[in-house]
Amino acid sequence: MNNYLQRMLLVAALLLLSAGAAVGLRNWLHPPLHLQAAKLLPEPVDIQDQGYLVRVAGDTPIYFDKNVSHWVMLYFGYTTSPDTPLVLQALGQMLKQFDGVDSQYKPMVIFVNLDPSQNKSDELEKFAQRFHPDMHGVTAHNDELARLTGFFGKQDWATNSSHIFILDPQMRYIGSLAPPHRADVLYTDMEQLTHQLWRYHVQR
Amino acid sequence: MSESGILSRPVHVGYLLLIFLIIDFPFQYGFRYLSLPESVSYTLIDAALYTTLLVITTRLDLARITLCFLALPYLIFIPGWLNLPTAITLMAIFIFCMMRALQNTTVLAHKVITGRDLLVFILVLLWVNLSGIGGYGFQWSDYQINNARLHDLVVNAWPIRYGQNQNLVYYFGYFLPSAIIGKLFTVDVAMRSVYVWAVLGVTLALRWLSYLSKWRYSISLVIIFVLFGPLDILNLLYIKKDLAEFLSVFHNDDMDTLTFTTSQQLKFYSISEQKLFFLGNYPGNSFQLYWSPQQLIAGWLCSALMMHLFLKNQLRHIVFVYALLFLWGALVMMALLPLVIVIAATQFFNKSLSSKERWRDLLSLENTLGAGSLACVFAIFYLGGSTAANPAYWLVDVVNWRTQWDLIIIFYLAAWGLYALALLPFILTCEPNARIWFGGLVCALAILPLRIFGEWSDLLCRGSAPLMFLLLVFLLKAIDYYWHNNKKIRSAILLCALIPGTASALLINSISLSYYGETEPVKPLLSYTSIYPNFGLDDSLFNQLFRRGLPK
Repeated sequence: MNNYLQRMLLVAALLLLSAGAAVGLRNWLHPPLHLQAAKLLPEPVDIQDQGYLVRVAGDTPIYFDKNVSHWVMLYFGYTTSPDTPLVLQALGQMLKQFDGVDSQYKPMVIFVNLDPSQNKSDELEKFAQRFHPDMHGVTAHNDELARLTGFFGKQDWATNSSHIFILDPQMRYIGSLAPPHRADVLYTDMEQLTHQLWRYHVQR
Repeated sequence: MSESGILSRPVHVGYLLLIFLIIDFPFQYGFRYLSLPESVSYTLIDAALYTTLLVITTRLDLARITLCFLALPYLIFIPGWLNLPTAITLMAIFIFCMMRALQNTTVLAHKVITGRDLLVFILVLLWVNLSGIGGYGFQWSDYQINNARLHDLVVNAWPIRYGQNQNLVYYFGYFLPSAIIGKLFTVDVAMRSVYVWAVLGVTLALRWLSYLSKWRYSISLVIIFVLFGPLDILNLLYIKKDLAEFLSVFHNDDMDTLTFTTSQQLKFYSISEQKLFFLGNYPGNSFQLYWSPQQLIAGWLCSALMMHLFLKNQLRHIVFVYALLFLWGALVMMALLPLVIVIAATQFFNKSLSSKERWRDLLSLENTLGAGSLACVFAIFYLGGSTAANPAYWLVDVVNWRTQWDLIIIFYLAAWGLYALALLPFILTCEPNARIWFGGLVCALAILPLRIFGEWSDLLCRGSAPLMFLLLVFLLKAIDYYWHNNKKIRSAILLCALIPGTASALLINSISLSYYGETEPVKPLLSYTSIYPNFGLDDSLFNQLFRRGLPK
């Protein structure tokens, strides 16, 4: 009986150890996110190989596929809109914070001009770089733009149009940042997301 | 090498189950971040599966279970792809030959499961988990097409036809058991089941390595198996005179590896605009498992079983065993062909046998009818595909011998030549059959690079896997032999000689670890525009003669 009891105690202790290790690992690898402006989708939506593209200076297309290998933040707007410089300024300040602390996690910020007739792509690049040298200003042909905005605005483009959309390095649309856009909030949210790559890759 | 007590003790099946529960739950709940109910159910399923696998690979007969492993995809392919008359005929022949092969296979001793078996199995679980198989660890870019193949085999009706002249023609035996599971459940379940299937195969391969080399089935064996590779590092030393430049290869944090780098550095990368990508090295075990398990595992198992049969003079179904590779990896088969020729030649020139005896075993029903019928169906199947569209050329035609003779020599030496030379004194002490087998192996290793075939030198790259496995068998056999015959210094020197060959494995494992969890999407093959589709024509001979349901 003693022997049996000892065995049972050992089994119970090992199971407890396993449960403890599981909880410890979970908290260590996936600490809860405290996002202020970012709203995540219940399930990431893959946009790879769907043919979505924008164009940078020289009309070179950027395809949203795994070759990008960065977190991507997309903001759609007009250069003439009064909101655009404010949002890009906030994004530029956010990038500066990444520069100072952990540049390896720095997301790629892309401003997509919604009116391709207004600006040439190289002028757009210069426009974006005024806010941060690593920021991209891009445009696309009308049909490409319509496809892209259609993808992100499937639910309600009017409501979402001022959002900043987030893609993970696997080019999956994982959520968006709601206005008003403040540099410190953008940084805090993106810093958590980019550092917790695990959460979006391992669990699914 | 004394037996340490606790590891040699038998472990009860109930304890195995408990240990797997304890290990798997933190992985599911803590690592994979599943919900509690999901974690509990996955843990229970995994623990039951792992216990079953461990029992199968330890307690059951190694040769028979290997035969069953290799044969299973045929039981799915034959009714799934072939028309009724062909399916009935081939299935009858196949089952008949399998039964005879199973009956006539040497029974390898049954064992109890010890703590050491358990530890080794856990290491295999970790290695296969890291390799990207099953969608857990980091998946290298070939997984785009691997995942797509599995996806399509689950989702599409068999035989798969995507459209006009787009019939899937590929050696997809590895995926078929999981595809069936996927058809019963979901694509995701199919993906996870590949992991279980691969763990079974890799554990069997490790068992064979231990059995053939007489090296104890132990942690050290797993470590050597995982790390074994060619001496690519010598290529690099030869090319890169500067130490800093040499070391920079190991600080490469992108998707590159030593294997790729040496090919590139040996300037075989783009001779005459043609891709000679993998000429320059025979990839190591880790590299092979991480990139192409669908051909590799069967290659290991089949070559091991063939070696076992040859050493035991059991040739009655050796060609049939070889033919089992048709559905798993045609390129691996081609690489092993010289060994089959050596088997036939040995039998033919064996003066101790009468002329009737010489051919009795080789011309058995399994070797003729069984292997022949498989050869007939699959030769026609693959010829109806994109085989001819693959780039193919002779090495002599594309290498500039005046300027590159030194590179060819160093490639041969570093890939396997130095290992083979180091083995020569030991080989002379071996039984005649082992010497002949080693001779055949050296021939196969030497011949393999002469014909470059496939967009990424696939024949060389994939075909080298079973040959390197057999080379490792001999290396371990020699180390073990020297150790037990009071030649411990020789044994240690030979063991140390394996160390430079671990560089590629260290690099690929560390990269896989750092990118752990980044997987390729599981989506249809046709959603990719840039990958090689392996399509066959509608009017192929296979479609006309054997295919189930002709294309409309």
